[in-house]
Amino acid sequence: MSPYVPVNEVAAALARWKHLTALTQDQQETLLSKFVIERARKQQGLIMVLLVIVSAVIIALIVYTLTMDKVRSIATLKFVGAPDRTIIGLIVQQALSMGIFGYFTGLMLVLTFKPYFPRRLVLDPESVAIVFVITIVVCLAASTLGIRLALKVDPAEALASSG
Amino acid sequence: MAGTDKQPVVRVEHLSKHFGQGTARVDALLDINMEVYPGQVVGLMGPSGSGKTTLLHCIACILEPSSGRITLDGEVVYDERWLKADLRRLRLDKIGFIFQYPNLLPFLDGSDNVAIVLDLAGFSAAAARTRAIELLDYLEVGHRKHALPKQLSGGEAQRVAIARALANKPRIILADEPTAPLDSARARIVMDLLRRIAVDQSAAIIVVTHDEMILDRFDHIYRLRDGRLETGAAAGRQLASATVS
Repeated sequence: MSPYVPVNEVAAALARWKHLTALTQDQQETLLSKFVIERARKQQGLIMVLLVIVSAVIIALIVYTLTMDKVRSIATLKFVGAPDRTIIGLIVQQALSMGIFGYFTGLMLVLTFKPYFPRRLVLDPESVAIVFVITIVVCLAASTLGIRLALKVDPAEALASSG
Repeated sequence: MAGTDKQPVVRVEHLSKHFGQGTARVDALLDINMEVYPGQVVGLMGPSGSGKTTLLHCIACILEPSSGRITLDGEVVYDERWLKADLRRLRLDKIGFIFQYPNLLPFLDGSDNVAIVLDLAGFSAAAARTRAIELLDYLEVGHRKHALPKQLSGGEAQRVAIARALANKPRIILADEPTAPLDSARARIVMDLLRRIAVDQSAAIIVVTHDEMILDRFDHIYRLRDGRLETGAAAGRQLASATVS
């Protein structure tokens, strides 16, 4: 548009036409960020929350199953004098190593395939760190089910006659 | 009899244990009295359901008796109630336990299975490992220290389990049918080993067993029937020779 043309008058003239609007640069940016990017952000956020919940449930079930498999070993440890904090430590270690292994595997895959992704995604170090913290928190939360089971194990189970 | 001039390492006085109440009450142990001295290997025998495992659980401090008194290594640990708050620590410090099956931790090798008890007792990793290897050598399975439990034979695994029970130099060793999964030759080797340990470490060893073939390996035999001690103390060797004659 020519710099000698009054912008407001042109905008007012265009606004009289149905389906047409004249917007400034700032207005266009606001429209894009508020209605397009913000909506996509919310959708992605919702998917991320769902994925975190699903991951927590899966990790909790895996830790619980692995703990069930080790009931006799846990009973033996308790029998020979291992305190609860040692048992809890073993289960938390297992959950954390699973989470950290999953995190770095996932990060490696993201960095490898990001350039081939149809949409450009920004992956800043801050987000990477936040996801790591979330992973640790989820693993700790997910291990509580296994810890509860382990703490209930009776040391006398080590004496059960099945080999 | 070995060591009767000394104080008993295990003393059980008027020990009773019942399960349930009223008409559902079952008396598992009734007025049990026994003493085991340092250097002694004592057998605890009886038919299934006679209460020998319950008695072993009570002495191992994993089952609370209903009444009576238990003294371990000169310290009264139960007198109508537990007198020690941390029973696991008590087991770690005073009791070594040999299970019917070795119960080795499948994800640790032979030396680590022994060293874990020392780790729990507060030894440094290096000291724990050195002591574990010494014990495995003492029990003649030192060459299998890097083997996982699944790679060990039954006899080797039982020896590693014995090494674990000995790791923290306990004064009391409790064994629940340690020879059950072994053939008679290996059973005798294990019993001879326990006798050697009792003498070398001045430990009191109580062995629950059904195996009549190893009777001559005991200094004393306590027989249980329906929760009561049938015979106070009869020397195993005397019993065996009487049977032979």
